Amino acid sequence: MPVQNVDNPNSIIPRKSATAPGEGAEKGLITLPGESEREVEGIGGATYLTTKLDQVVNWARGNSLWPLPFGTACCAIEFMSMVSSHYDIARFGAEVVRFSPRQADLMIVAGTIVDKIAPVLKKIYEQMPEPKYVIAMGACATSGGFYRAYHVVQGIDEIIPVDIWVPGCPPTPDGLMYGILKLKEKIERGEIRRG
Amino acid sequence: MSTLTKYSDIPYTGPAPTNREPYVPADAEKMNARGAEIASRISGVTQETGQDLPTFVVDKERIVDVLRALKHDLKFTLPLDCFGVDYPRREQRFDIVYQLYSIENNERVRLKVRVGEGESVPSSLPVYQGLNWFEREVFDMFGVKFDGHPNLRRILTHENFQGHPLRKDYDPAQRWLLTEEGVAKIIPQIDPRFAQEEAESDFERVTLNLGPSHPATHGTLRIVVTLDGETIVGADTEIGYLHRCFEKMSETHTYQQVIPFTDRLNYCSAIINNVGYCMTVEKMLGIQSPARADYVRLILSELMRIGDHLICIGTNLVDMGALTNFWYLFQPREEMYGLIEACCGARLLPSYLRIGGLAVDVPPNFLQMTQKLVDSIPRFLDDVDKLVRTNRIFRDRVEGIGPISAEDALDFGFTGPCLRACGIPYDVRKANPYLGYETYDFDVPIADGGDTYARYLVRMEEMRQSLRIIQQAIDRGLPTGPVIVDNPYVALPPKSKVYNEMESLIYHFKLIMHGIQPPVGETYFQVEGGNGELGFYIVSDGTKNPYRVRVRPPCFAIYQAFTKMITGQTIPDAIAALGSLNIIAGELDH
Amino acid sequence: MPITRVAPGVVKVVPDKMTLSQRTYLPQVIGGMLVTIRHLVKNLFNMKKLPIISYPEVKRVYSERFRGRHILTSREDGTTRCVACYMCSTACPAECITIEAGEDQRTREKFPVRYDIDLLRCVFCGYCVDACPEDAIYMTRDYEMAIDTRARAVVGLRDLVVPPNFPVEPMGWRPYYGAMDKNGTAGGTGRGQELRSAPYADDAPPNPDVYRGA
Repeated sequence: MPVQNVDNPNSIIPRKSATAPGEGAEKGLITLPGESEREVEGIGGATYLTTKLDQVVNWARGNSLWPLPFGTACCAIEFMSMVSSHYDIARFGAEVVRFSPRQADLMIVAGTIVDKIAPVLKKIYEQMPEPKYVIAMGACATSGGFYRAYHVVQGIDEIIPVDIWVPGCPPTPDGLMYGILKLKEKIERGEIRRG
Repeated sequence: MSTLTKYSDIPYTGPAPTNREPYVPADAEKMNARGAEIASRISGVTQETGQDLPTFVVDKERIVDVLRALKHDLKFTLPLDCFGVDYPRREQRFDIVYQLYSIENNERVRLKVRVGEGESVPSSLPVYQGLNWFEREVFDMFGVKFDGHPNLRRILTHENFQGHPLRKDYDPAQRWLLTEEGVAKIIPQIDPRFAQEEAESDFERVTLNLGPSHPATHGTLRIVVTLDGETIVGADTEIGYLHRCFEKMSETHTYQQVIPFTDRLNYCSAIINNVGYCMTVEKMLGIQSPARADYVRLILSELMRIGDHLICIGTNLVDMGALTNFWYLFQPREEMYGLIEACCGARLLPSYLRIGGLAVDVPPNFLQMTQKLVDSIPRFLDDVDKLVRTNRIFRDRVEGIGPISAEDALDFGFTGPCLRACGIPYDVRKANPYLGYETYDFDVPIADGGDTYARYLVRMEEMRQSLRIIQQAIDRGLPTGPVIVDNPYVALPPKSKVYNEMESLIYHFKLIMHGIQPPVGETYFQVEGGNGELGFYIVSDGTKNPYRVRVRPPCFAIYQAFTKMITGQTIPDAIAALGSLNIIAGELDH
Repeated sequence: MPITRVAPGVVKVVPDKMTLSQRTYLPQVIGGMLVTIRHLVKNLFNMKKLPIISYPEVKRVYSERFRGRHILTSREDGTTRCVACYMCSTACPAECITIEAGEDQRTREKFPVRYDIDLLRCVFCGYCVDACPEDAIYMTRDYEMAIDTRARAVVGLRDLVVPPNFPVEPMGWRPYYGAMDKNGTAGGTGRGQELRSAPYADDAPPNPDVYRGA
């Protein structure tokens, strides 16, 4: 499959042009289950006007995700990579990193959550205003990873609800961006309704 | 073609390791002689011969006296480590192991105290205050009490935890849940310097909690401070918010499988951890990784050290409000990960090393890419230097902030850049060279004062020295030859042989199923990590899983001095000092 | 920053004395602004050389060692190469691979009836690829794996097995790489098989030790 390379003489990182997330040489050959077109939830019963309003609200929510990085470990470093110079999450309105739960609506749990910090995570999640979304980033946050151990929470869904799971140990910054884009898509389609 | 082969063509002709043979260190005789010399000067110790360090068994009643004698008479001024090993079948089931280092004589010593269930050991805090947290950790993990310890409570696990997880009879997956009500209330002790002043002060004292989720604590540290006005008069720290049970997990995995776990200790410089662990196991197996592997290990270690310092300085400056520098420093770091990924297949946690060498050979354009990196990094360092080094706003915020004297730093077990910022030129790469560091021309930077500014200066200079080492390595060129030892009991045979030859397939199968089985014994090996001396102590019982892996995390020793460093200063100073210590939670809590 | 040598191999970094202009804040602030402005101007006129990778319009090309999502390769006839020997699940530090073996009634060969990888548990260390004696499991350069339910993260044979003509381009961590190949051609599916079959060609002398039946 032809790949158009985008060369940058200052960088040792090779690049290529693509069109959409999930597209490229891999598309069509590797798909995760449920990756293909999914049915949008029926919105029966709603009147035309409220449906449209819902769409506008969802569009606005999807394009202004303010992340709260609950970074504890290695994944937090990759999160930092995502907000630093090589990646640009500001294009999707999600660059306003807030460390105060009151000012954020997307919690990115990056790193191992151990039993000692679990009550803290729960408390911070409860402090976030609705609507709130959670991305579990990396093996440890999603499932405990290879730490099947006496002090590690085996997936943060034990404590708080999760909207998007990003596998990887740690996921690459673009992998995390893909997760954020997917969440954005979901919100815009109205699949996540909370608050 | 020869530069690209993964394995040498010379078949392994050495003997097959017989299971459960004793480990004989290469320098055992020398260590025995030195041990006898030390034993003649210290009374009440029994020498244990055949170890890789001078080793003594000490009665628990005598341990404080012996430690004191070693510190004052034999100049073992740096307490490295104190940890436990559990042998449940023995009557006195616990070994409490102390490891000390003497900078003047460049030697290490190991002491063992044997205690049984329910017994306690006198605390060694009167001699080394740096063993404070180490003793708490032993108490937490093994339940051995230390008499006279002022604050003997759990350190890594939480308050609702039952039992002592590193005992052999503890189920590795047995969890205990912590509820919000169970979280301990921490009330910091007031520093004696400020104890009397309360009546005279105009302000009421306020206790303030920082963290664990606070932007400046980087996720997982908790600091409780008591303020008198704006001055911190008492502080206490709580750690363990990232205790991922590395040591217990090592006991349940094979020697090869521990490598990905070591990645996640100091995740900012993962390859250095790999090097430390792999070289410890290699020392135990008595094998030497090939020249080409050592060369790549050295280059990648130095790159990782640069990356570690870049993160440290970058985030430290962000905490002080200088966001631009973060981007200037993260740009070369991202490029660096381009190189790491091209070699190892992953960016942050590469798991690139294997015991005996490397997983695969480096890509053909490795040296060109490294050269490009080495050429580009100084530009960013200079930019940051221009922005902050002589900037008065920055200097006012960091000079004299979080200071520690050289004596205190040694006593607390400081190593690495934080110790060098106090003026003590101790660097493992110079003192005990490994990977051929002795053949490279580089300097160890030191600075005076031991404050945040000194640590910044030392880190900046260290990055330049690392670049110097890499440049010299590039000039020497990539050695030819294999990248992993040709020993089927240690390294997987090449895939072409596995697919074609029955014998190789059997070796392959044996190694995957039965793992590497080092001889029975114990060993310690240290490398210079991003934060200081990173040591691994491994006990092997001859099976495929390590009996005990102890990591000596440099952060752990450094962070316990933090409360002392910030007392008498203000909260913003504490934030600046915390960032400059480069506390990596993965390593701190292991 | 004056650097003085205090001993062989040891240098001392001494903070500079602050000059008058440095003491008065303003020149330093302006100097700092100049550095940032220089970067701004340089970037404005050199947009092509910006380090930015505008994901998803521009993507980073990870190397051919990249450890992304796994695939199971197939033989020419379309059957999966995996023989359910459990080597990968033994080597896996995360114990994220679950295999159930079955037996092909016709060829008497073992094959997996179930092969599940829990992508959330997986730490992408590549040990499964290193352990595989059959050239059956590879990793790809696919990192775009966000999943919206936990159950979907367990991928089975249906999602893992790729057709025999799977192209080399998206391949990641695997036993052979393009540059390592003798012919200079890319590695990938089939290369291992080729190596595997070579010494068993018809003209190879029969091994007298092998029992070949009465």
